[in-house]
Amino acid sequence: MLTRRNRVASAGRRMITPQVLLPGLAVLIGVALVASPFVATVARSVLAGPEGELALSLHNFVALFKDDRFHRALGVTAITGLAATALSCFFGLALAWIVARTDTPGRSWFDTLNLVPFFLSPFVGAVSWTYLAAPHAGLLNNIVSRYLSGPSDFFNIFSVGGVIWVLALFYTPYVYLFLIGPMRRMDPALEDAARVHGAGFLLTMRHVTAPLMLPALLSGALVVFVTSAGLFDVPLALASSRGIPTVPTTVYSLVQYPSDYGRAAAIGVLVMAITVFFALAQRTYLSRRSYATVTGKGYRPRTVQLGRWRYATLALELFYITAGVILPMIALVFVSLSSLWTGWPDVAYLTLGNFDQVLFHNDLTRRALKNSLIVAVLGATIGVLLSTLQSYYLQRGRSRMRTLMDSVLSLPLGIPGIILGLGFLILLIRTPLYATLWIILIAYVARFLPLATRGISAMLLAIGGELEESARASGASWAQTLRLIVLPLIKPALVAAWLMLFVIFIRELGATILLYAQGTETLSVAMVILGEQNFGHVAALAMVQTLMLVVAFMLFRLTRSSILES
Amino acid sequence: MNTHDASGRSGASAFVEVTALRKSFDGTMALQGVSFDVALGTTVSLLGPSGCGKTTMLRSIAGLETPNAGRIRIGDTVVFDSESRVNLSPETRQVGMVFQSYAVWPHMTVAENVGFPLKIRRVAAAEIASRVTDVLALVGLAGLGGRPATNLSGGQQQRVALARAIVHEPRLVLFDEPLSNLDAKLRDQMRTELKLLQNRLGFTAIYVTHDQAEALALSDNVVVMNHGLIEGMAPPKELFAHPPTPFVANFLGFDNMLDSTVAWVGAAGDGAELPIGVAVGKDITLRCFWQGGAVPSVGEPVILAFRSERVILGPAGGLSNTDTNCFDGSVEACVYVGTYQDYLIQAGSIRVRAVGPGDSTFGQGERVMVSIRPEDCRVFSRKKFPEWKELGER
Repeated sequence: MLTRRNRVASAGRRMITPQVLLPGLAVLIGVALVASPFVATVARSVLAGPEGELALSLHNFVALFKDDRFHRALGVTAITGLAATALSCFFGLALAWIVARTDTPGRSWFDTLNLVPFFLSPFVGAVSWTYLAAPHAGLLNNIVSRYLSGPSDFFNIFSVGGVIWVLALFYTPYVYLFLIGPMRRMDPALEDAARVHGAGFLLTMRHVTAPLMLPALLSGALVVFVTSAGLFDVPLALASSRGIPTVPTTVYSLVQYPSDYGRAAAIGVLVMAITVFFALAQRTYLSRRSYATVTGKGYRPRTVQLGRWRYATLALELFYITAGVILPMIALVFVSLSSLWTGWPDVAYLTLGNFDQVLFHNDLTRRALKNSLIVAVLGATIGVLLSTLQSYYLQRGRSRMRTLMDSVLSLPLGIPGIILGLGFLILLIRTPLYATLWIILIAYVARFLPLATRGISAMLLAIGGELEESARASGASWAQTLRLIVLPLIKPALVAAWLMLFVIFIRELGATILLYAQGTETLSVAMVILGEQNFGHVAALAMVQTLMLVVAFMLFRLTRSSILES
Repeated sequence: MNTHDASGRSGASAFVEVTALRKSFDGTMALQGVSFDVALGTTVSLLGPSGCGKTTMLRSIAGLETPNAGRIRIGDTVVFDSESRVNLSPETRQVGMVFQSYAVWPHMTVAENVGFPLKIRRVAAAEIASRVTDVLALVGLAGLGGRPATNLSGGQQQRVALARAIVHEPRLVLFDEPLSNLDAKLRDQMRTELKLLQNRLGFTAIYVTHDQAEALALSDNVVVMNHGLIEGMAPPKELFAHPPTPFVANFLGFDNMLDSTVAWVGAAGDGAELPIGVAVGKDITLRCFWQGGAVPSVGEPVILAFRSERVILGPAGGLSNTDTNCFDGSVEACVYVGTYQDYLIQAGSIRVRAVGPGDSTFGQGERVMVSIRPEDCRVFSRKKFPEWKELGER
């Protein structure tokens, strides 16, 4: 009895129980995954000179600031980011309000439909929009010229406007997700009080509803700006081919032969600095205005009776779903089933040949399918494992470093995939990991781990520590408590996090594009490679990818987890 | 039940007049034709269990709910009339309202919250400031105007909500269960303060609550609602002593509700109430007074109601007084609650709830004598209330 107690006491003092060790280890891995590409990028950015004779210098930054093309890229990225943010804030705010607070017909359906673009690949979305709105060749342009006798280049998706349009469509669900919770949780009496005390509908909106939604809207706007400005997929599909430079595509071209890693790293450092700045700004802002609208009560959200206006809101909903989901999907289906795409569906060209090719014959696409599945399944599993342990550390740990670690671990959230990919490329190019699937997997996990950790942390926070303490008090060990109490309780969050990572890994392009090599192509990379050769094959591959995403999305809705609302 | 409507009508002087209001939500009737008046400068409480329609009634008056039919007049203005299709929006009805959740805006300071009704009415900033200062002093929040509204306790938020509802001197103040979110001690304190404020300012008010003590304490007239209908309407003391229906009796604390029959009918003296005998259980007959209109016949089923605190317990075999009803029973259970004790007495085939002083010493199984005065008993005709049954076993 005495020896046992001594052993427990000394173990407690030295803190080497698995309860401390495993979550701590996961946090260390997380920190390494964040820090190493950061350090590598910063280090490479201050090295300049010919290969083999690199010297410490600020030349890369100086060259960058003198580069007119980079200035233009910066301008285009800022404009597309800001405009896409503004547009998705408009859509997201309107759609969240329509679904949460009005009697618009079919709003429970729209609650699900509004999220569909969140799960689809923005690259596929951009490619589909080229089928719709490419000058002279797009379906919509053909409709305009045939039926409305307008010019056949009425829409031009290959433009700054095109990039903004597709980004806005794909980032609207982010704003929507930020707002739908606060809109639902808002005590309707706050608005009623304004009405009763003399404010009309519009004054109530201005003085009560809008200010209450502002913190959530600004948070959403910040996330959308940072992620949409850093997104590589859409500018690659819509801007590169017309010589419109953007920051992410500039990084990509700097790494292509003849490569200039130093200058690419300099851009990386700039982008990281901006991202960290925004993350800090958001944290400060949110901690200053902490009221939100959450009062811990479930309110029956009161719906606004729109009368005739509900057809206007219905029209807006239908417009968004049509532009964001239905039209791109129709175009994709048409192109994937056509042996030749002329911008108009033609029964004569109808074929299943494209699917036959990409699924059974083309080596590249078959390899890409296999690679993507391996990386997605393995990556999601590793990711959920690590983020569960990290969440445990963040929510249940005793360490004083928890708040700091929370900030550090969530840093990659805003870092564009291509910048993080660049960091890992610089770090690992001379190791055996380069040109394997592992380097891609590491970059994926590093980039998207915080997303999973947030969801699982929120769930752990929600279930509270007492349930575990009572298990320990009943005589269960830590491992038993974890297995019998904690894991069953957070299972919905685990499933949701896994599906979310799976979806992201299946479609990710930015983090992959610099890291793939012959033999380690993924689905999205294969689409980029094929894009220059065969529309039909790209569309068929995109259909296969979309199908996988849709299945994951449907499973995700089934879990009904709070991960999205957290 | 509509027979009771007339009693609450205060005639031409009515300031608020609600007539035959109906409202249904998805097929369920929340209000099934409710009419009542509020005289100028008085307070009327709408009292009833949750789901009785009282909050719907209040929100309809505020304009936050649109009734299906009926008419609401506030002062000279008809604010809602289904026949002439009048439906004024909430902001034009010139009322003040205190919400159950307080609904204090978290993004404004105390002064901004309270000054909101004035700001919307484009009152000059200087006047807003002075009126806000005055009203904050009135509700006991002097000097707190600059505080963020979220930095307040529940009781303080309640005061902010109250100040906001009266700052623009509305013609009518609506209270939606304003005290139900406060803890018991604070609730008693706020109830008293509210009463004082009401006496001082003399505003006309409609007060919704499920707490009979609040309703009795704060109002000149109490309207008891059940299932979207008015069950009774009277000044507090009258309602408390002579509840018009079994539901009102039970809701206001008549906790002994016994199915019984008329055993004998006496002769009415000059002006006095008609004495009758009511048989409960096998061999207990209580002398009561009949107030239910048409003279009952012997054998007619009735509901006998009396309060446990009006039951007097004494040692078994004691002297029985001819003026009161006495019968023997045995203590089934007793619960000590400090200032008093709850007793459950088995007497023949019936069970009677009784309250004894905290130092009473009857033990379980002990024989006791139960006394109840005839004037403390209420008798309701079963024919008139065939549907009624006591809700929930306590």
